[in-house]
Amino acid sequence: MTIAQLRADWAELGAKIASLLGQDRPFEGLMVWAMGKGDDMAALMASFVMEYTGDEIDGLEECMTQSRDPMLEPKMRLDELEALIEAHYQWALALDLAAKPSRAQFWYVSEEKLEPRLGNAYEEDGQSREMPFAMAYYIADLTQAMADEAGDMMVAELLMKRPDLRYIVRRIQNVNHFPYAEVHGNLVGEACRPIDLLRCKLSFFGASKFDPRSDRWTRITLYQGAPTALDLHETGADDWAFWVVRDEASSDGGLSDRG
Amino acid sequence: MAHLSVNQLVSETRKAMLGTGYHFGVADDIARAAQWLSAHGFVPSDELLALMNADSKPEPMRPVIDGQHVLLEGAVGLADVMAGLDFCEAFEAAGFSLKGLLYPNLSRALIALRASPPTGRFALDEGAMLSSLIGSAKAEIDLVRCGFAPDLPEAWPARITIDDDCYEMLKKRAFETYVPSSEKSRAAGAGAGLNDND
Repeated sequence: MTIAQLRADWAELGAKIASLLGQDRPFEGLMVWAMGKGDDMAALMASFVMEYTGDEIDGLEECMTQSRDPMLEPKMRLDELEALIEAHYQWALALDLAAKPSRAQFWYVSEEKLEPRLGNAYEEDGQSREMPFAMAYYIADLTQAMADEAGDMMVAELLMKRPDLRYIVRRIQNVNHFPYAEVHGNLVGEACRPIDLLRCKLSFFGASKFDPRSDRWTRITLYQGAPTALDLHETGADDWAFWVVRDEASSDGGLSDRG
Repeated sequence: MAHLSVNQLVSETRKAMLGTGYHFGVADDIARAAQWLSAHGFVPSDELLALMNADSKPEPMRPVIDGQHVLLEGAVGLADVMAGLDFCEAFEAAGFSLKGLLYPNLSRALIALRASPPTGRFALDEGAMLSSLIGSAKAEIDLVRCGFAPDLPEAWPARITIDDDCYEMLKKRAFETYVPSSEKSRAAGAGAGLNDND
């Protein structure tokens, strides 16, 4: 359905570009149009627009790391903290935490492979050693603790009584500065599919050609087709990541050339 | 002696503190304190070892607030230092005195990390950096409020050296946070039913 919709939208794109060329701020117009078509077209268009202005975005790679350590703000009042929860954790507040499927899984480090693993909370042992990913439940614990206190109490006082809340309080306070810091989904819910997280993370490493083998692992390709030092003088060597359809009559018969 | 990357030290310390019984948020801070010290060329092997052999005591003591001064006195553990720092920031204390530090170097590291940008809170009375006391067993410290007290290392070292006893204990405590595999976990885990040559 998504691919079909993208194809339909793609058919309109040529005319849209032509209509925008004579206007001010054509890229902005293009992005507004793409966002109106939905997330997929918006993401596709954003990648095209960024590539067109390569000199302006090359330096952004350096911004993909975060050097600021998460800081606690002990002076914050509880009613301010509550406002942050309301602003940034609606996805968590909307969950039915009493429902069994909401906490059907737990993340842990495997003793056998020292890797993260996902277990079934109702069928496997080890939940007492889970990694701290049940954000919605920590939010609920915090909200419950705050309900017993005055709104003008400072975070420092609350943490004196409940040091176990230090982790989630700091997390909430920092999400206020970094809106993309939190996955807006229940990572311990029955519907959580690790493959979605994997694909996002791996894309940061430059992975391509995702080949999911299940909803828990995927094969990927890194640097396949990348130019060697000897290839760099060729026209288009910079575009190796983008594969193009070649003339059917070409010697290798089709889809394996790079533009 | 064991040789680790700084990231390994942080990761192992965080897990070991969880295995010792500290809460997630507290374990995070202790790991960062160990990182800060090692970046200044001092790996706190003895203090980490003592910490892992002691009760976790995660519930902090209440700091005494005397006017504009915050005081911690007694057997002051790391959770106590964190609570004291919280109170200093919350009440904008002019001074912070700590007497009876159980882990002097890790405590100084916790303070230094809070004193660094962007909060900028405390320095030693003489205006010296906390890093000037690294390695000292002195269990008391008096701090005064200052405008800005950056005390971060200029660069993180690539590798650190740690005592074998400490490293073994870190691994032992970290091991207590791992979950053994079972037939069920193998059957349902990543790659189950397949192999990498499929």
